[in-house]
Amino acid sequence: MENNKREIQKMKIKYDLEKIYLILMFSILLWASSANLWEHKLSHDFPYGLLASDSFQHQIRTESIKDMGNYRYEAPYISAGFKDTIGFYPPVLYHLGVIFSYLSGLETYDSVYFLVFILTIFSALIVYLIIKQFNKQAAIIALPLAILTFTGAAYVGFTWGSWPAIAAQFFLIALFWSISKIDFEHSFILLGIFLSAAALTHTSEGIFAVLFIIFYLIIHFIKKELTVKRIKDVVFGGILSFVLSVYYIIIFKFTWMGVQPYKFMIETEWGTTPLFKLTDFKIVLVIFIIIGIIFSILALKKRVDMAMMMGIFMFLVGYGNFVGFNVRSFQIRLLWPIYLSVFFGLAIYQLLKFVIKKWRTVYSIIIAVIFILIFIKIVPVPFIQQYEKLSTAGLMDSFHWEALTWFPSNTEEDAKILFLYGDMYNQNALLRNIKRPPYMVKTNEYVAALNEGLIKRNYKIDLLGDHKGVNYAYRKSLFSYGYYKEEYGSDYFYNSERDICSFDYYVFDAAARQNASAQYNLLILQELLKNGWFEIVHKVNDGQWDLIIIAKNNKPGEKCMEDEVSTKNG
Amino acid sequence: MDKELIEKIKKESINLLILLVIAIVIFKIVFFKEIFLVIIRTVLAFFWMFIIPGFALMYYWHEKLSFLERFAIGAALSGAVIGLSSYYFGLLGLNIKYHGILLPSLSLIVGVIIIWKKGIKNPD
Repeated sequence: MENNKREIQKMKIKYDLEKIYLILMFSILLWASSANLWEHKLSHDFPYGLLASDSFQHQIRTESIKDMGNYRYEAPYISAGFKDTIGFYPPVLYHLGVIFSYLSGLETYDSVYFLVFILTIFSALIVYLIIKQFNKQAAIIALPLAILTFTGAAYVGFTWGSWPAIAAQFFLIALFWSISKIDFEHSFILLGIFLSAAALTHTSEGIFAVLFIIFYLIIHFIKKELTVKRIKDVVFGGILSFVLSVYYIIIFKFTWMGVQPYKFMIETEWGTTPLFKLTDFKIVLVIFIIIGIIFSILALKKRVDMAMMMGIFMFLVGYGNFVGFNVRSFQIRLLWPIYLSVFFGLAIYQLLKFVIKKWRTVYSIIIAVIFILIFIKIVPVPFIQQYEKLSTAGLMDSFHWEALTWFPSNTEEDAKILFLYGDMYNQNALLRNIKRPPYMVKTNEYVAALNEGLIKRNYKIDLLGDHKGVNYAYRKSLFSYGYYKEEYGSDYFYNSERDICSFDYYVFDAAARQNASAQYNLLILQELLKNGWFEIVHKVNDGQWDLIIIAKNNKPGEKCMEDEVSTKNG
Repeated sequence: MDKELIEKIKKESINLLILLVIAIVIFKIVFFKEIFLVIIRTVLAFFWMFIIPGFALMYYWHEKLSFLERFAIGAALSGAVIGLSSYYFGLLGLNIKYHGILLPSLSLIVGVIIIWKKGIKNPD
C-alpha cells in the first residue's frame, strides 16, 4: 500500500516535470521565433520583420482576402488590374490569417506572420509527441534542437516568406502523427483532413504526404504488418481528402501544374536565397544526427516506428533537389531542426545509456536544459550551431508605409500609379499595398538615363502583379481556363516603353542610398510640375525632410514634356 | 451520461483554463513591450480558434489519447477544419468576417455532439 502510494507520487512528479519542461520550451521557442525579431511586440504600425518580396506577397494576399471576403479571385492589384483572375494560391494559411486578424484585432500582416511562428512551435510539440511514442527520454532530449529552426538559413524561411510551405508542414507533421494512430477507429478522418489541409496550404507538402503514405505502406508490407484495416483507412482517408480538395485541385491543375509541370533537373542552389545545409548544424551536431540515423536504421529492422520513418523520410526529401524537387525540398530543410531532432535525441540517449544503465526522466531534462543553454548561446560552444538573435524592422519603414497606405482611401480604384526609383521597390510585392495595380520604372534604364543626364518622356516601365508563372489565369468554365499573360503578350506587362505623361499618380522617393537617384527623381518631379495640371497631393516627412512625395496628374495622357530634356537645363 | 466522462470533462476544462492563464503570462513575459489588452485578446483568439474546437473534436478518441495529445493535435485539427471550411464557405458567399465566430462555434457544437454520443454509448 505504502509502496503503491510512493509509486503514484513518483509518477506524478515525473509528469509534472514533463509539463514544466514543455512550458519552458514553449516559452523559449516563442522568444526565439517571433519575440526577438518583433522587438517583443505583437502588434506593429507597419509590416515588421519582412525581409523579401515573397513575405509581402503573402501579407498582401491575406489583406486582399480580408477586403474581398473570400478568395474566389485574386485582387485586381495583385493581378495587373484584371478583375477575374482565379484565386490560384493554396488558400488555407491566408484564410486562417484573416480569421485570426478579426479575432485578435491584429493587422493581417501581424496575424498571418504570427500564425506561421506559432504553428511551427506546435509542429515541434507534435514531433515531440511522435518521438515520445517510441522513447520519451529521446523526445525530451530532442526538443531543444527546434530552437535552431529560428536562426541562420532556416530562419530565412520566415523572414523571406516561405510561409505557406512552413504552415503546410505543420499539417504534414500532424498527418505523420495520425498515421501513427491508424489502428484507431475512424482514423481515416484525421488522415483525410490533414492531407487535404497540407495540400491546400502548400501543394508540394500534400505531394510529400502522399509519397510518405506510399513509403509507410511499403515498409509495413515488407515487415508483414500491412493489415486490411490499415489499407482501408488509407484508402478512405485518400477519398475524404480528395473530396475536400477537389475544387482547388482543379484550379491547381490549370494554373501551377499546367504552366509549371514537374521537370527533372538537379539544382544545388536556391537562387539568392540562403540554403539550409546539413553542415549548418556544425560538426558536433552532424555527428550526433548521423549516429542517430544509424541507430534508427538498426531499430527499424526490429520494429517499425513513426518517429524514425518520419526522420528518415524528411531527411531524404530534403535532398529531393537531386531528383527534381528543388525549391520544394529546400523548403522542407527549413524545418530540419524539428524533423532531425529525433536522431539527435536518440543518439544522445542511446550513447549515454551505454554508461548509465538505470535512466531517469530527470537526467533527460538536465541534458535538455544543458543543450538549451548551448543553443541559445548562454554557454558558447564551438562546432555547434547556436542561435543568433535577429531583430529588424525589415524592408518596410513607417514613412513608406504611410505613403503606400495613402492610396487606397485617396485615389480612384482604377488609378494608374507609377513608382519611380526607390531603394526597396525591387522587392516589388510590397507595392501592392497601394491596393491599385502598381507600375514601376525599370531601374537599369532609369540609371542609364540618369548617367546620360537626360529626363525622358518614355521609359521602360513594368505593370506589376503576381502571375507567379500561372500567367494571370482566369476561368472560362470548370475545366477551361484562359491566360491573360498569353493573350495580351509579355510586352503588355513587362519592359514596355510607356509615356510617363499617361499616369494618374507618381511616387517620388526624395531619399535613397545613392543620392543621385533621389536627385534624379526630384528633377523629374520639377519637370512635371512645370505643367499647371500637376500637383503635389501628399508628402511624407520625417520632421525635417520630405522623404516621399506623391504627385497627381490631372490631365493623364496630355503631353507633359519633350521627349528628352537635359538635366543640366534645370 | 457517463459520470466518469463528465468528471473528465470538468477536470480537463479546468486544465485548459490553467493553460490559458499560463499562456497569457508567457506571452506577457516574452512580448513584454506589448500592452496587456493585445496580449489577452491574441491568446484568447488563439484558444478560441485553435485549441478549444480541436480539443472538443478530439474527444472522439479521448479514451486512447492523453490530454497533451488532444491539445496539440487538436490545434492542428482545428486549423485544418477551420482553414478548409473557411475557404469553401467564402466561395459559397459567406463573408470571411463572420467565420471567426461561426466556424469555431460549429466545430465546438460537433465536439459537444461527439461527447454527448460517447456519454450515451457508455452510460454510467
